[in-house]
Amino acid sequence: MSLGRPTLDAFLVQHGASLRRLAERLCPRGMGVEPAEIEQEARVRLWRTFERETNLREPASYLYRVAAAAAIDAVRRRRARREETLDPPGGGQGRDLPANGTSPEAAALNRELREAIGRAVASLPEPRQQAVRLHLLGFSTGEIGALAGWTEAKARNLVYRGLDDLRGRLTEDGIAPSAE
Amino acid sequence: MHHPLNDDDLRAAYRGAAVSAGVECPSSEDLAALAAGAIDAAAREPLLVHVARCCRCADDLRLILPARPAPGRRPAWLPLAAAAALAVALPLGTWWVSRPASPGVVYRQPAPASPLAPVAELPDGAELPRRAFVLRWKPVAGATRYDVIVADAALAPLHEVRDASANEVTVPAESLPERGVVLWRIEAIMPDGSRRASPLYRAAVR
Repeated sequence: MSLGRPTLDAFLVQHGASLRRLAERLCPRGMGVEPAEIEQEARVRLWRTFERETNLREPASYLYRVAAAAAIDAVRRRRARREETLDPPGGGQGRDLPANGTSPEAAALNRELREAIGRAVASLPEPRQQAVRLHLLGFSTGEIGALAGWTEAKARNLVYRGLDDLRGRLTEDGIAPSAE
Repeated sequence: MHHPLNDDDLRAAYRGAAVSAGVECPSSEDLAALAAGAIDAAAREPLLVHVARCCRCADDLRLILPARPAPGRRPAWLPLAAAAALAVALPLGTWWVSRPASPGVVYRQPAPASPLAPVAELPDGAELPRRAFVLRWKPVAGATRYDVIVADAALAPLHEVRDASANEVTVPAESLPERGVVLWRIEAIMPDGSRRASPLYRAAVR
């Protein structure tokens, strides 16, 4: 029976090893996700979507997107399960409840800091604001450039200038970031 | 108040502020397309705006970014070469599509999904008893018969039914695993010999 399988089978014969390597590279550490789970989920998605996919001129990109989406969903499932288990109802990230070992005063101070930084970042002009937000979330300037469609030099420039602006605004707010 | 903050403090505090409560996060497919650069500027902008304000989506994206394929450089002569290749490939493609399928085919252009493709009558992921594993689908108008394939989660075929005339098949228990998820798919065969394939469904063996 055809069922499109010869095509997918041939694709997997050619790219199966790449898929396995990708699953290993994409697998997060310490979250209880196994590369085999990502690979299997990616294979199911390939079977589901392969015949609809029209852009197979770049199989490496296609394979990456399928495996990366499978990896994200595996992480999201783990995260949701962990939060269901650990979080008390109404609790969670970004709330004002003090973490274990944190006094209510320290929690209030943290909340003030978060709000002050949130306000200061939101007051930055675009596109510096976007660059600073991504930088503060851990993206390198190379990654920011690739994501936003800028050169790395432009991303670096926006981040540095944006951070200068941010420090200035925080200082005005009575928060003095150390120059690093 | 006066708080000396270094870059790490700034990041930690911003992460605390970057929580997208009540906002639906983008799908994993969208984030993967963003990471791969396989998305146009109009679709990229709202995704990036979200990611920059949501520490979870940022974490998801940072997880997959290092594994993305390196962008290829496109030489200046490529458009000309592509045009020349297209001129050769068009007649070749006509022959390729009309020739019998062979195991060597890798990038056969798939037929677009038909709106009249078979649809399962079971919910995706339905649990079925191993001893009465009956797969049903809605009849396709004009279809003369159906082929059905059942595979395990690693896509290894478990059972095939050819030329079924009814719109259900019973999969023998001995073809099924003791427990777990299997995948199945229907193909309707039309009077002119053309085929209409369903999506791939999941069913759990109980």
